[in-house]
Amino acid sequence: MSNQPKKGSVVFYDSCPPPLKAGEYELKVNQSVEEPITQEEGDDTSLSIDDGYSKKLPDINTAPFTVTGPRFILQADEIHSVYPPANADGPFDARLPCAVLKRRTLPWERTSNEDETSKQPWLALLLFSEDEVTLLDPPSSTVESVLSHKPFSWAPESSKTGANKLYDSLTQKERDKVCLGIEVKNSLFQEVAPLASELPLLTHVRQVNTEDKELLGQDKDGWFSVVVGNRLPVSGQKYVACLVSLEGQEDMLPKSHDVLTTPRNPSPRSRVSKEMAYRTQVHEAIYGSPYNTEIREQPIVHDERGTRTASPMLASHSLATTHISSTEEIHVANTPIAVASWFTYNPDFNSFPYPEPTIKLICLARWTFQCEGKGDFEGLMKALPESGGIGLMGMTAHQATNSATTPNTKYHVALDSGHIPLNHQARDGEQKTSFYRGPMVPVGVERNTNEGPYHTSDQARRIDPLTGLENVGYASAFELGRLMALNDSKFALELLKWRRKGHQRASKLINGHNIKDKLGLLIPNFDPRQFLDHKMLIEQLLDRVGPRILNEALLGTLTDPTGLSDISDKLPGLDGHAVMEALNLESGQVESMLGMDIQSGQVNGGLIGTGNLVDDLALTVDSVLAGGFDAVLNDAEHEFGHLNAEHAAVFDELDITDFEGPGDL
Amino acid sequence: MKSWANSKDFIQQVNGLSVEDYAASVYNSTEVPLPEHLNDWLGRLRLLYGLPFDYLVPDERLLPPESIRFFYIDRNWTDRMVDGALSVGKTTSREFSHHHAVFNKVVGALDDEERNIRTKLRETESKAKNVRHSRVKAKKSAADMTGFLFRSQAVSGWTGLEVKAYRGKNTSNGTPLRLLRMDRLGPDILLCLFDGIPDIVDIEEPREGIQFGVQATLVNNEVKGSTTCPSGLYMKLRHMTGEHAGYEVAWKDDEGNPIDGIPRTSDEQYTVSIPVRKANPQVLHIEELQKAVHTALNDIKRAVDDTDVFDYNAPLTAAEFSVQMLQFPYQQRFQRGGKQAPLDNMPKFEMASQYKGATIGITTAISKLSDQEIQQLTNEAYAPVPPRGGQ
Repeated sequence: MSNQPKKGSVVFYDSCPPPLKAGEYELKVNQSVEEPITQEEGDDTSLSIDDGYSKKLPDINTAPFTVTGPRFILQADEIHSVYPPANADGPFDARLPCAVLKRRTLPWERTSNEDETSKQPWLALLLFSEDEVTLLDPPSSTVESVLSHKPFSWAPESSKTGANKLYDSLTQKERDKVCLGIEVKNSLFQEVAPLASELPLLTHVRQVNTEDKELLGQDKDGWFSVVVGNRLPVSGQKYVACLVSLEGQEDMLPKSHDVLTTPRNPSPRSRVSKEMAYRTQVHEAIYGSPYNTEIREQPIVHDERGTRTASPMLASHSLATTHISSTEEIHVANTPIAVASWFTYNPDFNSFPYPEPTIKLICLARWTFQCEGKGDFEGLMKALPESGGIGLMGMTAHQATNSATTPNTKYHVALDSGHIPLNHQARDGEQKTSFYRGPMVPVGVERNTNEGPYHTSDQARRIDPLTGLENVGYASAFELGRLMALNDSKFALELLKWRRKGHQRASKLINGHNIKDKLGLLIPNFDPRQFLDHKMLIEQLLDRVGPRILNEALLGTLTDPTGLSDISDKLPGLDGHAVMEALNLESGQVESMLGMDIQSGQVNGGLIGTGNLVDDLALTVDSVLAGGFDAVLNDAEHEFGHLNAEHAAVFDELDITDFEGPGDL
Repeated sequence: MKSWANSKDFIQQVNGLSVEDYAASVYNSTEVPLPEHLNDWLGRLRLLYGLPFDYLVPDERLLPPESIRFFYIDRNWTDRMVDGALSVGKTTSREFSHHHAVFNKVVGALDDEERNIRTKLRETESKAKNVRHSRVKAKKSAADMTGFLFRSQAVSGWTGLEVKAYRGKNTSNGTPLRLLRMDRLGPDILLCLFDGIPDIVDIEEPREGIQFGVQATLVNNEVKGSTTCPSGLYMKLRHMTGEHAGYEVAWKDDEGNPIDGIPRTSDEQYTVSIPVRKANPQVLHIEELQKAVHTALNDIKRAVDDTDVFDYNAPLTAAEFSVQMLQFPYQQRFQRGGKQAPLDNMPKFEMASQYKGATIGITTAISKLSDQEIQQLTNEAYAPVPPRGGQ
């Protein structure tokens, strides 16, 4: 493709927004007439006819139309590839997940905010470990169940998330559609979701050269849009990567995030401690610390051995809680023991009436992978020599015999050159072993152009003199080619058409040879190729042969093709004079009607008039050539076509599955 | 008619014409040997399109999981297949004579055609009908068609693998071989056919799937932060424009000299510490990273005093940011081993070590679509949709 980047190159583009985003549109056509006014008449350069002179023209036409695009479901073939590959096991911990989409405009066909002109993409790739996320699947997961979800069950009716607003704008038909979804805790979502300002940086377009690739069936060859995640997987965990729709849901994204400034603690933090923190905060938000003086600040304290020293909770309020002054303090409470003991001391914790808010997102695609092992591209390639191996096509003697004993060395030549032994049921019923070799061979084979063409597959069967075994590889190839041709009626038809054209030409030549044999005596140096131009041949024939025929009275019945001349006296209807009188016709008319010469009374069938034989014949030949000969040819064409159609019908009825593979020739 | 010679006599006898004269009568000099459809169909047959897999690999042991097998194409085999296809409806001496007369020409035509099938397919696919490719003629010896079958999870997991084959000692002065066919025969089986015998075959991760990644400071297999790099993650800076676009700053060539003339004293010199979120250190702080990369580029600009190379505007665009974040695709090379394969000059392939150099040129990040691209998009957007049935 002329405008592809050069081989091996990639071109990155920021974005590729379509001219129109997906959605409903209305095309309005209207017309206004303006009268131009010259400069002298006034300052206005134009004067609308509306200004007192005429009525405004009504809108001429409106045409509603819809720009469609994937919204709640993405067809599998829209996704070119994903990384890490689905269900792969490998060391992906230094790679951000990404999804490559075949449509370069897809991420910009909708937008994450409500601004129609925005260039914010609506797709994001989120990564969750398997236990962090609840996967929602059809049929229970519908657009309605996902988008109408409220983060807090007690949230007031008036508070609506972007998803809720989007839901309100949908028709019932759209709401009922099934889709994939995910449900995650809001606190986690706030932690991992990209900021609104980060969305465009995580989405871009790539153009690559496709010369070295398999054909991908794309409309726009070599263009891809890419959505990248922002979270790195941790080694040893199983992850779900989710391509989610954020259409109109920008308000749910985190607003800002602090940067980690202190060296990171290598161990991942417990999620349970965060839940504790959340519940504490909710309680504070609902009851308010200053309001509830009964609740005292109870920092979680660790003693030197790292186990928690629990302070007894005050039971003056039905809800017990702790105050946590900073998230750093929660951070240390990450051992199961500490959490368990905390639960023990707080029997009410689990019945806390306010579960952590969750959000639901429409998932356009999702896949799992495990961040463990060596299943990345590099690992797979490097493991090739140990697993399946690198080598030439073919079977070793050991493989072929399936035994530890070394087979007879005379078979080695056959095996080394790629032949493999297969069971062969011959057509006489004999069960035997024959060698087969496919088109892929481990040694260079000289092309034998002297062989062939063959006409039956049996011609290509060979016996190996060394082993006495038959080699049916080429015979199988012949048979396979034949069956594949029979399976394709268009091919068979085209083949017959092409062959017929060849036949026609060859037949002319062959007929020319036959004519030469017969006419060689009459026409010296006769070249059969002249027969291809039949007019020339006949003219030559008449020029040279005509006078001779005439002079030597060889014409025979040609002078009287109808044979009526001799018996005209017995046929009163052919009496020219009588007919002339009876019908009151001119003599010429009667002559042409009866094909006779009135004066001589000779009937000649209209073929030969009174004049020179050659001239008359030539005239007749011209007329024959003008219409008759071509008509005959056309007729033949028609018949051939008919025949071909019959052939094609026969081919159509043939069922290729009736035929067996190479083992049953 | 047991052999070619006898068949010739037979044709002479039946038609009163030699095979050569017969052939001459079938064609005139300007005519193509085969109609387009037959040419295309048989060309594909030659490239093994549509063949049942059992005929290619009759025994599973020939291609075990996670293996690669190189091979020659046996041209006699494919010629016999063409024979078979042309034998359809051959009943009388007339068809028989015709087949004999045209066979050599057909074989020659297909030797050319098989080299153009892939180009034609790519044209159809991109609908770039107006782009015409010059047709390639077969070399004198059309017998050298080779290829490989690759069965691996790498095929199923990495859609769009790129394959290159070269004839010669190395890629720089070797001749790239024409790729005749590249297809997945199954989810995890890749078939490639080359025009010629390769010395080097490279299989690469797809470029459109180039990943974004980071480098990590590992202590006991765990990412360890430090005061200068709290996240423990860093990345190397790359050129975004110019002839070295895509290369790391001060990337050293084979001789150890920086390709861009910018000196590098340590591997850490032109790296950026990657900011992560305080709330979850596994999540990169993309917004801050964008700023950090720009700051770092400006620092280099001041340090090397080369405004042409590092003249970037803040903030980085998505495309520029992508160039900085990408990781080079892995390339696996298979090349001639020490020992040659018996009987011929197909090398015995061995695994080569991973490509060390960043030999993959990444062209510049382009932020804006050209007018032409926008026009194309508009055309696509407004392309007429065929009416739905029944309405």
